[in-house]
Amino acid sequence: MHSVSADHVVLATFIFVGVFFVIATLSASHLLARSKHDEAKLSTYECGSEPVGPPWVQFRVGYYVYALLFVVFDIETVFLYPWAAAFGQMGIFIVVEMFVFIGILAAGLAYAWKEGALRWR
Amino acid sequence: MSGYWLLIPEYLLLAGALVSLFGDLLPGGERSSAILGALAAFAAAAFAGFIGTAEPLFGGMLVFDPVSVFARVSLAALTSVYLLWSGGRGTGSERSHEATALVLLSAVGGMLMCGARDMVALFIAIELSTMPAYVLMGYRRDDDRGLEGTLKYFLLSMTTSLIMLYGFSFLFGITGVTGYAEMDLTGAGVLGVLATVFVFVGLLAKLSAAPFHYWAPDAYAGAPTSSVAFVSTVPKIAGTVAMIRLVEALSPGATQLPLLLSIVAVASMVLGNLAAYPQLDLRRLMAYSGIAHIGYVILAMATNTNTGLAAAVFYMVAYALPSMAVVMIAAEEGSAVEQLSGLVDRRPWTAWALVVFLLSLVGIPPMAGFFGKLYLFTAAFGAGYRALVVLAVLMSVVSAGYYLRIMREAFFGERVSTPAVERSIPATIALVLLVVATLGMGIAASPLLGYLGVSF
Repeated sequence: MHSVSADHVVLATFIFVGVFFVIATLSASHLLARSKHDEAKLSTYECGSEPVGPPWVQFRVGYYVYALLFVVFDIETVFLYPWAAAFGQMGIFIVVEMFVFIGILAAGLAYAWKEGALRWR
Repeated sequence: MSGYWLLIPEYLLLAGALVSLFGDLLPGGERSSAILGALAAFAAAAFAGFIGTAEPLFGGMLVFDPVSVFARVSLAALTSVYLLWSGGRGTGSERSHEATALVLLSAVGGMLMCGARDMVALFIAIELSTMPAYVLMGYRRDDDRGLEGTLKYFLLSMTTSLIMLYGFSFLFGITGVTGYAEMDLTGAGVLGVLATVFVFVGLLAKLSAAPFHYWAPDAYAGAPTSSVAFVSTVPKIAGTVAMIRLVEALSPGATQLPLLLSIVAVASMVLGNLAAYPQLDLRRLMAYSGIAHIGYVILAMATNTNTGLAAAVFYMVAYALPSMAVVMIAAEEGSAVEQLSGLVDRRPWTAWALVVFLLSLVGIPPMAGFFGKLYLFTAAFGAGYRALVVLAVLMSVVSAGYYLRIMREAFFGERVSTPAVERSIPATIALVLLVVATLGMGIAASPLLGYLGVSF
């Protein structure tokens, strides 16, 4: 049985520990770590990779189409694997269901195709 | 697995959406896809009514009780009327078949929301219903103000989805179930209050209730008026049903819920009605009026009685019909209030139809809005919310001011402007249907509420 005050204590402890942990770790790293800023330290990648060009380059906005199309296939795979493992036990119904699902995804792909999203421009 | 036939209406809408994606390949082009969608939605409404009440599906995830049936039929029928109208006028320079598909997908989500009695099912249905709405609101891609409003709508809607999901996770943590049937918050203490507040803040923001309303006027004013006609009405019916089910499920444990809802109801009624007054754009005006009407609905929800909850759903439909019609007229005549001036000279029938819709929104008999308000206020009065009912009635009187201002402009306005869009036959049929429904729902109010399990 919960009581309201016990809940408050738990919640307050949770908030307190959460805030304390953040402050403690940040200030500990600030106090304990040596800070020596040389040129290599301040470069974009400390591991030694030379950055090429400025970081604020523009990406082709067209890439989002590929991300969306990737999601179509991604979702299909996510569901197809468990389905393939289990459809033996679940009968004819689940076979029909999966074809409905693939049909919806295929309609999405066909739409993208019709709109010319598969063409590189 | 039996019972899948209960979802025939959803299948029909989904099939309509998938076909209308390829609308430009159909004979007759873009417009035929909207008419096809209207037919699919009409068939869905007919099937939903024909199937009627049934046993719960998927172990209680989806229920088909009278409230759900009523909301499903109204939602599908309104979608059908909307598509009929939009098929008649097209979307001007933009292509319209994607809009049809998005409207139908949003309707699928809304229909599932009406039956959902499980947090997971509800969340997926809400997302399915709102995702297409973002795209519809930003349908004019070259319009900066529209995109600004859409972005505001999108970001706020996403944030509130997350808040609601956070609340759901608390509820799941406390009760260990996702279905409403076994959900019991009794004795959950402060965590239960937090969970309830999170869930309801999310839902209230989606329904644009004050004080979570500020996205609505900007989003509606920037969006194409034809999209506003759908987004500002149909999904709200589903949202109301989803909310009354949560009120029912959470009320036994969350004793503060009536207080929370009362505060939101007062804030929405007062702010919506007063802020609607100075608006010069019909879309902004209808956004604020929508906030006010949601306030009345939430007042009925706060009662958590069967009569109150059924009256809330009835009122939401009685609000959605004329509200959609007014925005449709705004889409045809131009969205500024002053563009309506001289309407009675150039389109007398439209002007008189506008009178029917606006009087229904004010709540004058024999229109649907009057009976909606009557049952709503009676239920709230009976549950002891007397002061709030008095306030609500006063605010209804205030609302008559700005609705009558629209009427005055249409009948006695000095400026004569030309309509933005020519009227087509399907659009005329759609408006006639809405007039008939607004009057018919008022006349049939008593049997309809009897079906919802309420008798006065």
